[in-house]
Amino acid sequence: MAKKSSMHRNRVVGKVLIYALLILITAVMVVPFLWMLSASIKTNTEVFDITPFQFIPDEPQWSNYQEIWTKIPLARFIGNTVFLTIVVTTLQMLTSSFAAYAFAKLQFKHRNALFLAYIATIAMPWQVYMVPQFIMMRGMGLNDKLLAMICLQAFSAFGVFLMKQFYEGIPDSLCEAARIDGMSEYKIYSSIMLPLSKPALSTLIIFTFVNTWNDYLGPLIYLKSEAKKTIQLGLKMFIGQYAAEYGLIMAGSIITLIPVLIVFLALQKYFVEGVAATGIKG
Amino acid sequence: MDDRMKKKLENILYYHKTKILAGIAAAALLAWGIFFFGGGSPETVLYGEAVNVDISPETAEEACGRGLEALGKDPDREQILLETGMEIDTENPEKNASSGNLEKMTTAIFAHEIDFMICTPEVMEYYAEKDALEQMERGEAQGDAESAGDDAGAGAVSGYGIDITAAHLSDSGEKVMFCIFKNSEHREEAMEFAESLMQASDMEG
Repeated sequence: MAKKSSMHRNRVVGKVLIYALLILITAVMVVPFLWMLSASIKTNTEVFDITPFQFIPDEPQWSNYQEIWTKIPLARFIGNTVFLTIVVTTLQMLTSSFAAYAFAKLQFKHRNALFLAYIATIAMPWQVYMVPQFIMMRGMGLNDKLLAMICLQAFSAFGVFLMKQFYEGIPDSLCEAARIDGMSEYKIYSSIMLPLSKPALSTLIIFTFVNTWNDYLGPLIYLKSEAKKTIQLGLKMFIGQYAAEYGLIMAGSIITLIPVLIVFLALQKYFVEGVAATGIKG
Repeated sequence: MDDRMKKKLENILYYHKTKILAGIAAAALLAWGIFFFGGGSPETVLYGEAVNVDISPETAEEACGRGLEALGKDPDREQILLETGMEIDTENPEKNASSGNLEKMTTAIFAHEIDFMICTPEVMEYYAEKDALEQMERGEAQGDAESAGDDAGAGAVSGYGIDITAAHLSDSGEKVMFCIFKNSEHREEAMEFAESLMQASDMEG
């Protein structure tokens, strides 16, 4: 009896410790976000006031949320970013799932070597081929055009890898049965594989959406005119040579977070399934 | 609507709902794209960066307008693009990795994309050391070109740049240089643009 109660006590202590650790980790994750939220309604001088730290200042600067729309063409930047993100995400869904289907379910010569070569490009840092790629894009007349960003990001080796991992879990017999019934490969892809791969597609949507939405270096190099710039470049405009307008930057950052949160919350159910099924961790 | 038509419509909706929705979404996106990005953008005749010099967008626009006029270009179809807000810490280049500015400059220089740079003397020296800047001959720019020292007059040529502080592009009071990149394919036009900036300062003076 005493042994049982000791085991129960140990289990409770263990649980308390685990919860304490989880709460600590959660706090570490959430504190920067809360600080950002708090800084977005502060003046520039209040932002770094630690003693005493006020989560909500005596005079909240709600005007920060108004000013960001007038100080820079934020609506235009958001429009550009939304357009770019939707187009890139849609194209990556199509190209990645299509290529992954071929790599996973079709037999052709040098399939594995080709896949390995394609996947190897993930290991190469963008900085290595940034200049020749830029020269190529410039040669194609895509300099300072959103189309350049679309072309660059429409294909993803990581997306192909993720989708292929998932497709390999789907029994080949399904495709074989469909072939015997006379379905074309395109029909098998669209009618059987795609509907079955919602979790992997959702995972890819989240990864692509967040990456494209938050992309900074690509647009910084390719987009020069103000009319073409994205929201991440827009936020940089609040950083001057001698000072940065932190309150406005944080207000802008909060606004830019909203679409990412919506996408994540809408797809999180599938995202967890997709991560579990493909063995990919974010 | 007769029953046959109604059934046909129901049938189409039942079997092709996804395709119809996808089509509508694609059309909406296309319309949005055309609305947002329709119409050709002006051709860039010169492209430059203001590095470590705080130039307001209004001042930059005005200066580029004057430059375009001096080059005899059509402002409706052509533009001089001067990007502002670039910061580079020349003493600690690693620090620039997080801002991406050094990567942007490197790409633009190697791709023969960037023509000129409006910058501080430190930035000029940084790129001169890397052999990226065109060496200027005395008399190439407007105004007096007596010495290359800190007290050189308006338009003074300092080996790799022209002192355009008098053009008052920045309110900071710091010395401002105009440099032309060796890789630029429009070096003469860039020089004309620099001259237009100096002429404007002469007129103001």
